Amino acid sequence: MSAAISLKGVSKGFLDGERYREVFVDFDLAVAPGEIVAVCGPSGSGKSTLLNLVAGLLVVDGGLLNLRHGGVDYPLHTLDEAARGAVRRRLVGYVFQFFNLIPTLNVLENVRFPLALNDRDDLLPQARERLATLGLADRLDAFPDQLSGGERQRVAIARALAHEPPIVLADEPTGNLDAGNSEQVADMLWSEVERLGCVLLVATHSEAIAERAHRVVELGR
Amino acid sequence: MLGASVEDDKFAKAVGARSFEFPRDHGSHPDYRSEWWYLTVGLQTDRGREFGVQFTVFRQALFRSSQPDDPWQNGQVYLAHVALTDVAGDQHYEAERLARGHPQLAGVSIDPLSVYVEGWRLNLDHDQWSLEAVTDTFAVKLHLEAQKPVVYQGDAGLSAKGPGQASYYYSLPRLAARGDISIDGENYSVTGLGWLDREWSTSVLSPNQIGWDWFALMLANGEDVMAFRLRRLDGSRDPFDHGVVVQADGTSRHLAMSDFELQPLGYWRDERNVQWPIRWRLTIDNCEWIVSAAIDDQRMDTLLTYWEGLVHVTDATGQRVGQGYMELTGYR
Amino acid sequence: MTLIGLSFLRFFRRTPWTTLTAALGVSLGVASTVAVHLISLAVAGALSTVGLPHLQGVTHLAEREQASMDDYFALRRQWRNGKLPDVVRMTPIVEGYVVADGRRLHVFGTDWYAAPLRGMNSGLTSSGLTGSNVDYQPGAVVVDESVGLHAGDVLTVGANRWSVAASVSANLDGGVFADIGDALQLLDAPADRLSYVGVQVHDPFADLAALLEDLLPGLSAALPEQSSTLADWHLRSVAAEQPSVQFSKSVLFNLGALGSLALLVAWFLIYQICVMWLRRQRIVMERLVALGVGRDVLARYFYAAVAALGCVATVVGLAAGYYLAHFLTELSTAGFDSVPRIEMSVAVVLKAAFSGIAVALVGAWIAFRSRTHFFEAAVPGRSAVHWWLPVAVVLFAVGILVPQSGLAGGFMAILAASLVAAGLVAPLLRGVRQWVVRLPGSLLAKLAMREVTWFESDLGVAVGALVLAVATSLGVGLMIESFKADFERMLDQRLAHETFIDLAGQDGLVVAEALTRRFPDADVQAYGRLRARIEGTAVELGFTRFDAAESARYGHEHALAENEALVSESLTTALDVGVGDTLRIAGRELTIVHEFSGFGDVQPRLLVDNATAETLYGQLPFDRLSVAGVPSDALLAWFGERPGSSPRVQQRDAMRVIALEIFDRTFAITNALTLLALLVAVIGLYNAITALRLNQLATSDLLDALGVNRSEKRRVDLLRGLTIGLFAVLLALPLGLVMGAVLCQVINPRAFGWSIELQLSVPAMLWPLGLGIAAAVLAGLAPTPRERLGSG
Repeated sequence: MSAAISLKGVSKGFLDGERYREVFVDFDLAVAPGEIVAVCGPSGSGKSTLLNLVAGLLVVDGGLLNLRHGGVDYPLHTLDEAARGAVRRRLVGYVFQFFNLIPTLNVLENVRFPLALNDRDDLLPQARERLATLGLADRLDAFPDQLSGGERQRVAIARALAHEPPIVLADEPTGNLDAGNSEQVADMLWSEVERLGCVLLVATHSEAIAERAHRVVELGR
Repeated sequence: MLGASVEDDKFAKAVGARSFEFPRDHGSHPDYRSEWWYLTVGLQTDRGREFGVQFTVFRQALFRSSQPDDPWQNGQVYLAHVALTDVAGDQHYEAERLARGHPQLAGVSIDPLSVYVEGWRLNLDHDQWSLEAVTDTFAVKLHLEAQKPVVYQGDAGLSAKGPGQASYYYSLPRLAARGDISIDGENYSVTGLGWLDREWSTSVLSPNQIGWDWFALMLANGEDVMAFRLRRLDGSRDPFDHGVVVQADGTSRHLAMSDFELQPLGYWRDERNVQWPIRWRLTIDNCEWIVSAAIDDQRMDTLLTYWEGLVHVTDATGQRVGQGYMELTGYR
Repeated sequence: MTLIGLSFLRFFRRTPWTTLTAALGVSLGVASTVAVHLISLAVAGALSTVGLPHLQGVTHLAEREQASMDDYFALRRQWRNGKLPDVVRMTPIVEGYVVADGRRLHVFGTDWYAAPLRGMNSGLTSSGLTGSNVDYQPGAVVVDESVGLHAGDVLTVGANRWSVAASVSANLDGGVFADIGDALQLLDAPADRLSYVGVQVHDPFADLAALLEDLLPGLSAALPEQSSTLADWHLRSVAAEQPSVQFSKSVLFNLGALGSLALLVAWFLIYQICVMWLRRQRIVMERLVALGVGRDVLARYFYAAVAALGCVATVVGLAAGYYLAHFLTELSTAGFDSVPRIEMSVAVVLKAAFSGIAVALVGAWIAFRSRTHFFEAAVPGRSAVHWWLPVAVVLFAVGILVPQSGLAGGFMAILAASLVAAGLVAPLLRGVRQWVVRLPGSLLAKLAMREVTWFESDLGVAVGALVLAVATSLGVGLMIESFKADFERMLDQRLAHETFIDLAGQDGLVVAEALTRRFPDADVQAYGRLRARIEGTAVELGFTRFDAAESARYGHEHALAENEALVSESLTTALDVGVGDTLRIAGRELTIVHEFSGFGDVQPRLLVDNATAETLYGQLPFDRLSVAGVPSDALLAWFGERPGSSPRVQQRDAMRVIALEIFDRTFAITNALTLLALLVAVIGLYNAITALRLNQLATSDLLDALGVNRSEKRRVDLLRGLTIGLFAVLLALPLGLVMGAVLCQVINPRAFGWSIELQLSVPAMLWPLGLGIAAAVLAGLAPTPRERLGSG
């Protein structure tokens, strides 16, 4: 599996109260297939915005944003919301800092969710294995409110990787965890991503996480 | 109720002198449309606490019955008022009962005489009058005895009130009264003097007469005075005003309009803004009396609204020389 | 501190959609209450002009077996002697019948001087007799307009003539009202005859009762009748003399109760919205408390802000209710000659203000008390219920099992059941969670279905309100359908003949004879009726030739023998008798052989054969005919040729259609009110689902991130709504059945004297259940407003 993320001359701004704030101006970024890139910067520098642009949850104001997978280009800057959603569904796995899981579905159901969306129930055995690897084999029937913070993040990783997407986005995946859990979660995320050969774009302000990446992109300086 | 009716021509009118027979004439005169038994009594306890009692039964014939023996069809209606004035308590109590003429409701029976309206009774038994009336708040039980002969008002009992309008009218002044009254359960034994007026007619006030002011006074010197003033619209004296002075020995003298003067001196304004003249100057010949209400509010707030109450009589020096009752009608 | 109040108001402005729906919901509740009250006032106004003039001012009738006028005077002396302190005044009354010009007249005599001046006999004095006192002339009578005479006419009875002083609308067929002396003469009765005594009893609560009746029209019909004694006389409320008035008041009370349903649902709505608002303002309020602002200060400003909303809702609801009243009145009376006039009054404005503002405040108060425990941990696992649960069960039992609790008791039972059901929604949702988790389906379906049981605190109240609205619609619908089924069956029985003729005063026997001569093949049957009294209860005594066919119309198999009687259900209830018991009437004993359902009858009825009636009353008046075998146009033509007043000729089928149309119109208002309540419930549910969505924004964002597309999200909304709807109707079904049963077997007998057999009509059940599900789906699919607060 190979993918590429390419941003060229991208601009993006937001209305901040009554002021319009430019977060990205003429921004370029290229991520090679299998590359792990840490995106760092102070609060408000645009880390989450970058991830959301790549996920197609936000639209660039200007410039080009392209995803490439299996020899096919997906120019997100030209696609409408439904098309971007379809791309995201197939090609992206997302891990958030908070609220990763659907509260009314149990662990296994949460992990199965992207498989159901993509009609890829054939990947269920692998997903189960992954859960076992992540130490959650005996928690499959538990609901999110019955899990610890670290367990929830592990389930989030399992869910993000269940459909084996070429691109994994992680927004402060350990931001809500203590040091011990952070390291554990980071280890698991890295090992699974490297095993699958996905691109991992991780937004973080943790130096420990940034040091693990192949490359660090600094925003806001 | 006491106004004219289309059936007036079916009733007898007081047009000329008549001879009075007693005790028969103390009873009812159903040939005439209107009639009343009007008793007023000034009372005191042995400690000098003053009370006044008024008891009146009005009879009105609504129609000339063709079936006078049918208990439900005798055509009469009786209105009774009883009132008690408590001078020391500055209170005036009144009650009213109205009933059709029926042997078991209201009427006048003779032998012995009884004028009754549902349990309130004025009886006459062998020259002894008695009054019995019980209300929710007060009760009156009195015995009264005449001390003077019957006094005929007007011209030998024919009392003219206007052109073609007259009544038969006599009085029993200075009745010696004794008995008991009670107010909210508290009893008082009392004695005093009473005055009984009897009148019957088929007459009405003329259109320019709006009411009258009537006085029945019993003086300490043994004289009794009745005087009334018909009030005219234009405020002038009515030539039909008259009165009577009864001497201690029972002889009486008729008072024509010119023989007496009544002048209001003071007023009481009630909560409806009606001004009642409750203080008067009465002048007969050269004698002058001031007649003042024992208490201001002795208004009868009944089907007919009028003022009827105990009065004190003082002479020109201010000394109390008598008591009596005063009646004021037609004030608005 | 003003800033706090201002901030609350601004918060409402920043959540315009929620605020608007809250105001709308409460406005609808107010509108429902106002509309019903206006209609009730108009009807009550018309009722107040209907009265038996000789009983104006009378509060009770005193009766004693074989009492004479001497007994009356003895009673009166007791009163005058102070032994009956509660009595204000009394009058003797004689009642009887005479025949004049072939027409039976119902004569009432009272002492027109027993209580003039204030209250009693005002019905007669105001009818046209002169003078502030009754300026009575002998031989003057007052007649009901049905007699067909007017002031100045002469009523001839035998050899005597009576001048008519006035004609009144007493709603008493053939009524003649006279002074007692004249009445005794009319009846040719001795001077000591007495029927009963009219008494005015002092009621220290009369003013309060009048005020309550103004605020809750029909309330007097809801309270159980008190019977008592006066000395050794049996005392009975005079209201029983006018069963049509009582009947109408019962209808008004029922309507009032139904009109309050929307308000009750609106209360649920405002409570739930207040909870939503408080939740969204929680952080702000916690900060303020931390800064030293007292909780009571926060409360006061919150209440004031909600009360301001209530004021707006009151004004809108008042206007809407006024127009709704007009609309509903036109809906139910289209084509009728007289339509009640809708007029605003102070009582209605007060009621609207109370409904809108007080309901909003109560909702806000309960929400604030339960949801603003700042900095305190929630007490885990302990449910708030349950002290009121046994209380509600007891109230329900008392309302059902104690007939003396009256109509009010019946509605109290329904209210108790409703509150129990509504209160159990959240616990039940929690309780079924483990079962819902096991339901099969796609992940999106599972997500949607499980939300109802996961977030019961967000949805519980709104679902409870929906349950209430659906259950009421179901219960009322079942009652109406059951009623209609019984009614149609009754019509089929009663309208067994082809043509009915109301003779409008003509002598039935004479007309029947002439009819038979003209149409020899016709089957003609004459009917008559009288007013009678049994143990002080006024009853309608009907008579005709009661052969087996005639008896069958009332469900009895055999012809009626002499001294046998058929009685209506309301009579058996009123006199506490049954089949096999005997009744004493006019000095004779009759045996009850069958009880029939008397719906549509405002008065207890007793039916006997002509022979029995003749032995009781002598010459009988027949005022109606049934005819078979003659076309109605031929009948009309024949009547047209005859002198005298034109009778009313009605065909069976036409009568059936008219009767059913009136039936449907009667319940048009009912249906409109239940729909209104349902609408308020939908608004509440929409708000609850919106709140749920807003609380679950993170999940929504997550679904976006996972690539769930718009149509899949709509499917989730649909399933969510469907699940809520299904849950609500599952709860509403048993509650609705209970309501229907109570309406049929408890409310109806207590209000109108007859019970209805509850029939489980599938359409009557499916319609409200389907509406409930549709309402929930609609609420679920409606878009979420874009009201997102910024952080902090």
